[in-house]
Amino acid sequence: MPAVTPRAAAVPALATAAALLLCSCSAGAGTDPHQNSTAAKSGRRLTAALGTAEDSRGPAPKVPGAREGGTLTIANPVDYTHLDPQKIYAGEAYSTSLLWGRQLTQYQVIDGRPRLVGDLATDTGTSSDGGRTWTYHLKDGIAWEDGEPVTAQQVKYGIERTFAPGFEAGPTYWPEWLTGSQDRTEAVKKYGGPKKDGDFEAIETPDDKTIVFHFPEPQSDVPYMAAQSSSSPVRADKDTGTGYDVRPFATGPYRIVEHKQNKSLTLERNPHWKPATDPIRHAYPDRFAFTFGKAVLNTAQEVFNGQGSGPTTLTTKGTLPPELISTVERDPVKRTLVVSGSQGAYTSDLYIKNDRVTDPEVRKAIHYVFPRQQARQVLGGQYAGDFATTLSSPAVVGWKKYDLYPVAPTGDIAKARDHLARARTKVTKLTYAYPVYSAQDDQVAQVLADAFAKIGVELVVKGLQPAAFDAEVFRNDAPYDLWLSTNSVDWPTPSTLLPDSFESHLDPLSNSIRYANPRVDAELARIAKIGDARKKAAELIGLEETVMKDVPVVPFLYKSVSQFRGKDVGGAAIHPIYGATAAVDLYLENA
Amino acid sequence: MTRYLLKRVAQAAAVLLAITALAFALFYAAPSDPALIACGPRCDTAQVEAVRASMGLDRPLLAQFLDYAGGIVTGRTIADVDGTPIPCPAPCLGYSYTLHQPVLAAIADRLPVTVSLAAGALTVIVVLGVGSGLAAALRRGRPTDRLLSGFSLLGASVQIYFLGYVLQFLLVYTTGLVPLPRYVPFAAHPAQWALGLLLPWLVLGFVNAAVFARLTRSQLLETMHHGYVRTARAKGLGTLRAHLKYTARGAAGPLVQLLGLEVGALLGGAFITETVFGLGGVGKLAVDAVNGNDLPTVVGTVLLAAFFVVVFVAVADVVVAWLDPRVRLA
Amino acid sequence: MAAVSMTQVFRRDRVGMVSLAVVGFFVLLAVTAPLITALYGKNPTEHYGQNETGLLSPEGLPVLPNGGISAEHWFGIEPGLGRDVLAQLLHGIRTSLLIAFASAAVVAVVGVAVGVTAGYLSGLVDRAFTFVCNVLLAFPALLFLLTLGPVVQTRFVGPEESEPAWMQFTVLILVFSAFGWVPLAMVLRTVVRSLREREFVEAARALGASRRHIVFRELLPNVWAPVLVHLTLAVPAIVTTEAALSFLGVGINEPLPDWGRMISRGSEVFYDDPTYMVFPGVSLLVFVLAFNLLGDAVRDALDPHTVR
Repeated sequence: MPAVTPRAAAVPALATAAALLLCSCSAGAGTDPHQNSTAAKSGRRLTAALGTAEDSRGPAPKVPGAREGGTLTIANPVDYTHLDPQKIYAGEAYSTSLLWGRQLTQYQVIDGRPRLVGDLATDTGTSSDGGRTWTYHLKDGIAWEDGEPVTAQQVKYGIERTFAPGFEAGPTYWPEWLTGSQDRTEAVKKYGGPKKDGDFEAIETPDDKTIVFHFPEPQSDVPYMAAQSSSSPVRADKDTGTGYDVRPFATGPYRIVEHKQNKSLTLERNPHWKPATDPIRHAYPDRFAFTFGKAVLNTAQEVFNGQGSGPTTLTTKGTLPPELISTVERDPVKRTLVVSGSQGAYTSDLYIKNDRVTDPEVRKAIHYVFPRQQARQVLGGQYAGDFATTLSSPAVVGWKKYDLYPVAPTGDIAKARDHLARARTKVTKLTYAYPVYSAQDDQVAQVLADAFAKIGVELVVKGLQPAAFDAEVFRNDAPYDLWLSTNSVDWPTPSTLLPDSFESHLDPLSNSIRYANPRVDAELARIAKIGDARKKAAELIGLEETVMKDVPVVPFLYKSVSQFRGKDVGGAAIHPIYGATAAVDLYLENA
Repeated sequence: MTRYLLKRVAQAAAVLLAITALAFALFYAAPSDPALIACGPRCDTAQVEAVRASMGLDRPLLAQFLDYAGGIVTGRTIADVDGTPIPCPAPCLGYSYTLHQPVLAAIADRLPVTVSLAAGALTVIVVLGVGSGLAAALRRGRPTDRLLSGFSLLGASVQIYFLGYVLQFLLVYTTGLVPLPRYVPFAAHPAQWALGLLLPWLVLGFVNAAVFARLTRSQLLETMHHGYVRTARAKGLGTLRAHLKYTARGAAGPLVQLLGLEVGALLGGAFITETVFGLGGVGKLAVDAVNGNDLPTVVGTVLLAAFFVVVFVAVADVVVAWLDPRVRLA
Repeated sequence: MAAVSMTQVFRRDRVGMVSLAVVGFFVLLAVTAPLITALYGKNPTEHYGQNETGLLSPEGLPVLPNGGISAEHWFGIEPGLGRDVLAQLLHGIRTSLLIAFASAAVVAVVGVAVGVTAGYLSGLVDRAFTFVCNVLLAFPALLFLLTLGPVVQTRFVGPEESEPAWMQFTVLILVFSAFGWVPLAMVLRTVVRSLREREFVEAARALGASRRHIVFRELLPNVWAPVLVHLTLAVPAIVTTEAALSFLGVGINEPLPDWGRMISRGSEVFYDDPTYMVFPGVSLLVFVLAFNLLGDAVRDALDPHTVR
């Protein structure tokens, strides 16, 4: 038997461990305040400009330097929840689905400035009868991917689908406006979708090219609603029910060749799309190859280091991971690969469930204790956006700055304690719910718990599976007091913010905080009857301060977004309305 | 031999049936309601009930299980959220309402990644594990043995989620010696396929090879001391020939069994390796399904993983029985 | 008598003694963690980097090089929240060891009870035992663990309550035990099977001893050696599995310090702050290595006939 056992060889093993320790020397973030930070200023002012019929003609103005050809990879961390046009309801999906879907109207973006123009329609719509009737005419030469022409009846069928069961996920404006209902639940009782109730008389199609909407109340924002994905045509013979959510039929410049859920999506040119009819979309690459499921950090490494397919890759859903910001900031070449901009009119707020935290003093205490700076630091600092003091984003038409309860970004513990002491009943425990997408979400929860502990409130933090979050939190009897949420107007005017989130009769998905103020309700009812878009916007902005005096939510950030692109990808810019890299302007430099 | 074979197959089938029942009961007894998630938050109670009924979730658990188990053998038709019938041919592992596709199809999409990962890792395991075990046994007590044993010990102790990142940092980002891990289909580009998976193979292989190296070494040393090998040597057979002819055969049994278990485990999905290197295989599908509350996919991947383990352990047993007649008579 | 010779053999094993010392050191750190951190003047949950200026950059990375190592924070600070790494590491050992030792204890009890019974009774019981073992061995344990955490949380914890620490620990311990007893019981079954045919058991039986007596007095005292070896190797396996679970996002919840979560976080900041991952990564490596070496040494000491 040898005297020394082979286990003495643990020595080389430990030496390896020591070598690993040595390799860990890192530079540190340094104190450089990033003077020339690539972080974008958020909340860039939008315009609600409506284009003319002339502007609505195609083709779209060429992107300078663009070339045709090649396969562009879009590497997103997760697949799309929905592809069915009537179910899509998210900025990035709106933007990306322009590749294969067309709507009545759409935003044309030139030099970062959006303008609403006719897409399928010849213009942004004409109203009569004080805003109760809206008429659209379809352009000639627009076809489906199999060459059949797009008709007014197919647009009508698409909009009718938004009433059907299973389409709860999409925006609710068509059902509400067309039936004059408070919310969707009420609307679908009057008309239940094409499969259940057949033809819907509020939408008229006198011929194949004309569609007329009849609203019980005057509506001023129909041109914007006509740009939402819900306003896409659907062909009844291609409507495969839930299958349509996987592979919709194309009218845009590309068609879906293959979609492997949570894995990949492949687009090829749609031979029946005519650039001359389309003032919005370009179709430079030959193919788009979407991949889903890779962690953003891995994709970012590939892209910034130009490895593998990195140079021809970009992401429309992933954002620059906070962990990479310093590395990227230090490297002038990598900095050029960051695509950043204001994330549309998105604001992030700390939501308070008002029917659980009924005492305004407690809500004010929450307002003061909220550690904005610490929370933002975890989310990427300046890259996450600028601190907000108002409910709506500066991007919204008619926005006015106000700061009702000024507070330092680090929070004001003393003031928070004061307000808490004034509360009618003593509060010692609050619940905070959050969907766990990444470790950052856990960290924000810890930041909040840490701050709340300083005012003697135990914050119970509940990380929920993202798939279950909405169902768990937006219920009437859900036991959560606080959550962070991003909200946005659906288009640049303020008419979708207060009326669709702060009216007391709305269902819990819309008015998730259960805000109820009879005075606000009355004002909203009065404003709803205003047919003039400009006057309506001014009134709504005026009402916002009244609402915020009650502290129903705590404003947090005017959101910025930073994404990244491979070095051979050209034309990458954040879509000013949808807040994600616009897919329809992309091209490959070495194609 | 035939009797032994039949007995082994019957055993494997029984184990699989039990696992199906267990997985089904455990996961469908979970309180999270797939119908609620499929329907969305705007659904009222009546709508959720309707969805639950159309998904068949309102039926007794036993009836649901019999449907499920039957579907694996004969295939069946599943109702979608809105009641649309979806054909699911045998072997039907259920339908994912999250992915809008049969679970088997989702698995089939991702299996090539997992199989590729497993194939390369196994090669590394066999070459590195058995090779270094053999070398260590032949050079027992000498520096080679100590060094190799030390490394196998390191392999047995280091974690993939640590080693993987360290190597990726050193070999990919710092020096660029190895390309960034990614999956390219073998048929599309064999060289890219191998290069893209090189690092995951090495890491997964190194960590798992340790057990093989240790087992090989100890098995060989044990058999080398057996009388018949000594006799062979005494009879004048060369050292190397003696080893190959007698030692290897005698030591193979436990190794084959371990290999069977390893193949089965690798094919079931390498959860951590796939997560570390961002590869979209069956392991990633399973982890996503767990996070997305996608119960049909969770149960499907559990069954698949168990299936591979049971099958390859059985195969290994049969091989061992063929090598060593004493086993099949026991 | 056997015990004496074992201790002697073990004492002569230098690597074994060193690894025992390392393991002992880790246990000591775990036990005295609150004391050490109190002397050190830090606690594992305070967000130093966030509440003091100059420690973290606006994006949350340590300002000082090497993960913010300084005289104040010896091992640096955590990116993002800015907690003290040393304090987290020390308290993380407690988490790991508590789960591992408790699970090992349950495994020992269940494994011995089931293994000895199956080995002694044989027949139908033995067949049932083999079948259950086969099922559990083929069951993908990690996937099962991943799924079970959220299930327990939603079923047993009110939505307004945090899952108490003891419950998180209990769930993990039960689950590790549920799969962990199988290999031990299988080994013991074989050991007991060979023992029951030996002379001393036969003699006891011939003398009319009850089954109970045979099992508890004659068989059990002879199985402690394999149990000890098995448990020494089971502890590092449990520690790493628990870390793996935390790495995949379903282990112990914040704010309880945990090595797996530290490694997981470290993997995210690795490219800019590798130091943060190295501390928990290397600690885990050294710990597991020491325990594996100890396991080998124990086995050698208990069974000197093994060819080495």
